[in-house]
Amino acid sequence: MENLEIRATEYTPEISFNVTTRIFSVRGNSFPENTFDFYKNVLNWLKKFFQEESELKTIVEMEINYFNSSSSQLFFQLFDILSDSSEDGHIIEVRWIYSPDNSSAEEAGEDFVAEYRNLNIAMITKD
Amino acid sequence: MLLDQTLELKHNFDSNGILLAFSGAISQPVLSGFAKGMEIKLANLGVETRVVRTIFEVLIEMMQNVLNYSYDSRDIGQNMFESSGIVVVGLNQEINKYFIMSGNRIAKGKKTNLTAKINNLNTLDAEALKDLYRERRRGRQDVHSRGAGLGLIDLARKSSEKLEYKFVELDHESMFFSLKVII
Repeated sequence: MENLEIRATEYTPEISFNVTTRIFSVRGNSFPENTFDFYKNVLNWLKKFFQEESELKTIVEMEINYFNSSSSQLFFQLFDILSDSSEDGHIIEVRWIYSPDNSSAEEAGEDFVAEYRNLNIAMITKD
Repeated sequence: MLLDQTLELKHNFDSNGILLAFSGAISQPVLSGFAKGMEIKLANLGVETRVVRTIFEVLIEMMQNVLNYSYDSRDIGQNMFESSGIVVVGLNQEINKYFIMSGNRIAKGKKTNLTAKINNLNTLDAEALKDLYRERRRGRQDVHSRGAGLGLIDLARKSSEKLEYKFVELDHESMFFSLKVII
């Protein structure tokens, strides 16, 4: 599969999914006008990757600054894919990175940890 | 409009503690720029980062609500819309709290449902709002529509007071809906 690279805008994050290093990062703001439209290709790409590629370790790094409520709902869909793929045998390590003063990101991270018990999710604070 | 009225408007805004205001076509680039401008302004005033963050988040959520649910929503191409509305951010110095207000036209038929939603949120305490928010964002419903329907719950959670709202009838098919959040 080809890498997935999408440049950041003021309100959409940078997407950098590298199939060689198997480090997938989502970085920046996430408050698109149409959240589902923005994320649907990203989610489809991820589904396809985990269906087609070997079960070697994959690292997913998410560092989201500002996000709107509909983005947080889409993040759950993304985690659903990671969780299902993990059930299928993939080794996935998730890094949820946030600034200590970002209580929205902290709370979302806590919700992911509570919801996806089968996933290895590290909450990492960063200034 | 007379030139003198600019001064009147400015006085009016200033005397109400308004720090930043926008009236006109709200689109994604406009709301993003407005929130960014507010962030810079508040940071320069030395406002605590957590408060600045909350105001930014509330502004995005409110302006996207205007964008997504306004009666005047207009397709401007490339899957983008613009909606006529007003948004103001101000400081109530007496209680040292920020207020954020938005206003836009909505279809008359939406009043009942919107009123019930807000009234229901206003009966819930912080813990119940948190539970509802968690449940809804995991619920995966509505995701194909432009908004996720979570916006109001998010606003109710971030507001330190109950949500204030008002409907004013404009004509036989639309009303002006105003919403106020206090941080």
